[in-house]
Amino acid sequence: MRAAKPMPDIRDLRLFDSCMTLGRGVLAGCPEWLTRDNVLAVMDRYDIAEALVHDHHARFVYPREEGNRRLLESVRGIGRLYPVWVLEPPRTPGFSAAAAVVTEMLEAGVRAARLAVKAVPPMAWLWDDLCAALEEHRVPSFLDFGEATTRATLSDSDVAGVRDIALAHPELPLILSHIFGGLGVHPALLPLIRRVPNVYIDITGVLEYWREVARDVGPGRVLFATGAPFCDPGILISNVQYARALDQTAKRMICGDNLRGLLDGVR
Amino acid sequence: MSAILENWKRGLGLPDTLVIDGHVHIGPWRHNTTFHSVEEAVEESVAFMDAHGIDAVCAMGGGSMFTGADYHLGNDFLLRVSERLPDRMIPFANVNPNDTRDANLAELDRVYARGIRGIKLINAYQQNYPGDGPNLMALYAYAADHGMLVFNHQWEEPVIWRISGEFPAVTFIFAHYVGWQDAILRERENVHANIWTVDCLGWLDRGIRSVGAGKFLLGSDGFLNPMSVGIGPVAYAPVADHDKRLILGLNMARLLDRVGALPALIKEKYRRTLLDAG
Repeated sequence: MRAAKPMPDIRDLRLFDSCMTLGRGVLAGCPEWLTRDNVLAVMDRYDIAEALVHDHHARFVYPREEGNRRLLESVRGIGRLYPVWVLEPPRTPGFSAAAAVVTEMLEAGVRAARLAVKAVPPMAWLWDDLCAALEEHRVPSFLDFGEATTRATLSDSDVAGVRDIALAHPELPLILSHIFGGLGVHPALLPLIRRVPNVYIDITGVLEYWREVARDVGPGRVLFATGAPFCDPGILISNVQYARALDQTAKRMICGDNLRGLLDGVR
Repeated sequence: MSAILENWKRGLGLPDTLVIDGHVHIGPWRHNTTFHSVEEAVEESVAFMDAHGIDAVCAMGGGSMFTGADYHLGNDFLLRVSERLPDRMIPFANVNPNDTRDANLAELDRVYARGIRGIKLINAYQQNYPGDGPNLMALYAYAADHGMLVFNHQWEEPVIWRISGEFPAVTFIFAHYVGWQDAILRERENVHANIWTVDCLGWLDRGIRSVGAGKFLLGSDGFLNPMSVGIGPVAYAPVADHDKRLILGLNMARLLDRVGALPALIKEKYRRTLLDAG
């Protein structure tokens, strides 16, 4: 049946995927992985214009630096892919060690970070130095609560920790990522986003709740993400494209312009 | 290029395609809400269907299906909504097998008399009552005698092998295709799978290659979820449009028609589609 009212053409939304994982792994039920060899074909199939990508192993295999370095090789010469490093606080406390990590990252051309808050819990005192260094450069930082895949559930202390970090670093864009475990999101997340202006949400695995953020707080706080290969991109692309309550301007913001703006803000 | 995919990408929905979402919920839910009143459910469910190009839905209850709740309340709500939408909503009633067998069967008698031909089970969330426990075995026998479809959140593998063999006249539908069901989907004519799940890149086309498109049914867990999340994976799947049409609606239409639950308008569209396909 034809839709009663046409939705925007997906190609007009200029999709910028904020969460694609590069690298092969082994996981029952995951038949297809994204690598340098196939990622552009997958993006073309789904009309994804650009993507932030991170290395699969950097998220959970130490040393993370190996995965981060491998990522640079994987995206070399591919202008549509923007590398994201997975970070956790340096072992040496103090601002200078954290600043060195951020400087190295920026010099490598990496303008977004994925903070491994599943491995190192989001306690403000633990993350303060690294977040201060990231904040100095306004680096969009994804708070990654997932483990091997994009599924996760948050505890009360996780949410409280995010609040503390965000309030302590008001110029640091913090994007909640991998926060959905199948039956809803933590009930304090939406109130948190309402109250703390530098907290955003990416929609990896989030089927419904991002709409409440877009409606109640504003579309500027929502970033499109497929979560591929751990989530079929057709699910979340169609989810945004066919959202009834959002106009085309809001959809364009969510689908890519918000992220472009955050990346443009990196100093 | 798939015409179905191109139309979907262009924002046109699914023109010239019979679309039945075989898995939606009506009623309050424990972690979300769908609709708060019959009036809202009638108006909004039609608006959602129209926005996505969906002809009809198979509707199940909400929070009333879970442990501790009275399933009659959910069935009442479902009936009040679906009776207002006879051409667009096909209700599936729920019971709780931890209630007495007589109570379960009495409820099935009640809803059957109101025209319901589908049963929705969710025993995994009802104190994990066994899928082949005595009250459910009685329910399957009832379904066989009355020609009713049985849809369940999930059966354990040994259970579905047993019950699909003991009740060959009953069509058993998994609410979620998660991959391990391939063997039984291939082997047993009376076992089908609704596709709704959040799964990995390539999950659905792998299943179609393994099983064939004839065993899969569109689903979204709408209206909890947006209905687009079920359609998207089918529209984008690298399979022939013929296979997509089966999954989007023709398979479900065939099963509903077999038990006399296909609404007249949908039946006419189904008939025309089959004629056009030769």
